[in-house]
Amino acid sequence: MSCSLSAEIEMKQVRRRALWRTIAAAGPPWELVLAAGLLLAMVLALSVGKYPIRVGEIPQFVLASLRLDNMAAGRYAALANVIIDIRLPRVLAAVLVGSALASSGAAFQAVFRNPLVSPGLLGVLGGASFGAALGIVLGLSWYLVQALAFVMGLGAVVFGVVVARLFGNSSTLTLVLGGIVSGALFSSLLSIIKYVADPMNALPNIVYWLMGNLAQSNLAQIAWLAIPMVGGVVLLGVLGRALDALAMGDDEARSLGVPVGVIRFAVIATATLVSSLTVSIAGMIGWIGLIVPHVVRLGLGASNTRLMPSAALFGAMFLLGADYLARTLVDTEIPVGIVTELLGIPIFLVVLNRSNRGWNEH
Amino acid sequence: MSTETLAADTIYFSRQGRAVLVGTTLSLASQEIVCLLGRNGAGKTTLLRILLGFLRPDHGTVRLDGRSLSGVSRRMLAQRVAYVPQLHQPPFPYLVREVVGMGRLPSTGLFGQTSRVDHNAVEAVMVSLGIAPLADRHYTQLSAGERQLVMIGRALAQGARLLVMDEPFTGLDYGHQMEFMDRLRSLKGQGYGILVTTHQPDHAAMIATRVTTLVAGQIADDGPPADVIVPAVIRRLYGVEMHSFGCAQSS
Repeated sequence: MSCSLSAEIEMKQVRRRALWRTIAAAGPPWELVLAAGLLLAMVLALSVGKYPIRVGEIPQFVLASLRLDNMAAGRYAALANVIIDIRLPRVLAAVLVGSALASSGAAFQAVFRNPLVSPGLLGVLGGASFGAALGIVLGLSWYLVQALAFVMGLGAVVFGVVVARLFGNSSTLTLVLGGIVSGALFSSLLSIIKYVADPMNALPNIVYWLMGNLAQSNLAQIAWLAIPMVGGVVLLGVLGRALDALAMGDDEARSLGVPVGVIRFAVIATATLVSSLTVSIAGMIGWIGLIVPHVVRLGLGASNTRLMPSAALFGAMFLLGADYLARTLVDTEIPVGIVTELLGIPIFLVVLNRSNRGWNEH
Repeated sequence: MSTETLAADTIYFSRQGRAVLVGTTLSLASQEIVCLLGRNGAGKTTLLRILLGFLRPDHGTVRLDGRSLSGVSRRMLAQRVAYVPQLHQPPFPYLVREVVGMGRLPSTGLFGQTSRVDHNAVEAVMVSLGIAPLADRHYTQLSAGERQLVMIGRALAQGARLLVMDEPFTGLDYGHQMEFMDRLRSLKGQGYGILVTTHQPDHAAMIATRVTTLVAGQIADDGPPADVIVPAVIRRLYGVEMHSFGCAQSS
């Protein structure tokens, strides 16, 4: 009796230890940690700028807006102007663009089985930039410029895929080649637009757009772009296990029961959609789609179930940080695309050096 | 234990106008090791890919336990038949436990959450193959022999009883080849059916219950090793004279 009881207690202890080991192996819930970090970064970003606002005033302002707290009317109006009208669109734009670029970059890297691939690969950013430049030259409204950016981003992908198909199949290599050809085509088209653009008016606008900046964003535009972008990022986020299987190779993914053609098409279409929409909001912002997945992979491992959501959260934080620097580094604002490029290069070199063992081994 | 079978029946397949398979018939059942021999470019890999349902034949059918593969979902097939690819490096540094864990994909589905059951299945497979100590190592940093075991582990984690392996000996040194053959024999003893392509008739002679040869798009020989690994067949297959296996001839 006592013998069986002690055996039972021992079994319980063994089980408890096994459960504990499982939890310990999984580590802390990094997605939640990153989500909390992102929230904090957003509050901080709302508080910094030319007009001084204390960090503590932001929760106060939120409570006052919900009529749960009182605030002097003059101060409330000033805060409403600065926070809601000026800074919030910009903060939300940074979050949307950063997460979309990082998660589409991670998704492209998995489906193309190539850690050096980014949303620029299929000519997405090139095509979208051409569309935007064309819209500016034609003197279209800002909404039409954005729509044209998106349409041309998709056009560049379609062109790349058609080129790949001309070579008989849609293997990884031919798709990459198709993307390079498509990128080259659209960048030369962009050059033509720049050449014919009115040098007093349209050309500076195009150049400024292409540098990438978040200053143009407004709440109405963000509200309707948020739906496809957040939807796309979430979809990519739940496809993590399929992306892991695809990263091992088409036949292996098939042998694991993954419908390779459908998943690959869905991932490429979604990643293209969200990354060309970033051009609509903010122009060309480079490097985030390439380096953020690498940084997250170094910290949290290669598994896409964790990488996809974490990269989206970290990408948002990264662009918020870059935009903070763009706003405050010097007296006049620098386009954030330049900041991400300047930050991206040293980070990429460090990551390349650190992860060399991981994926550059033969 | 019931016998499971995977059978290709008079398969025709051509690629870019060139006939690769012309009426090929090959089967695999539980508790046997079938070795498929053939020259480079004979169509061995194509035949495997058709058996696994990756390619659709122009004519002929592949059946799993008598049911045509066209009526079997990919996910169901993955729980019955597993594929062990040639050694390769994935581009991302997955952990060994993550790679073996991918074998649970057919059971959980693409969007399913992994449960304690899956976790235990993965642990059990790693323990049975002796790779549990490698669980938290990067797959990309393992030796060829260790990576081959991880691939087997993923196949076993699928719960499949029929294993199709494409040149599993390639890239392994002599000692690992011998160990690997022992591993295959013990899997056969546990009831697994294994189809292996190889370039080396001596491997086939050592482990196969049946040896088949693919010549000019058809299975030319299909029988026990003693009947197939003979000078006449080797001459027809590779165009060389076979003297003996196991010891070097000196003259």
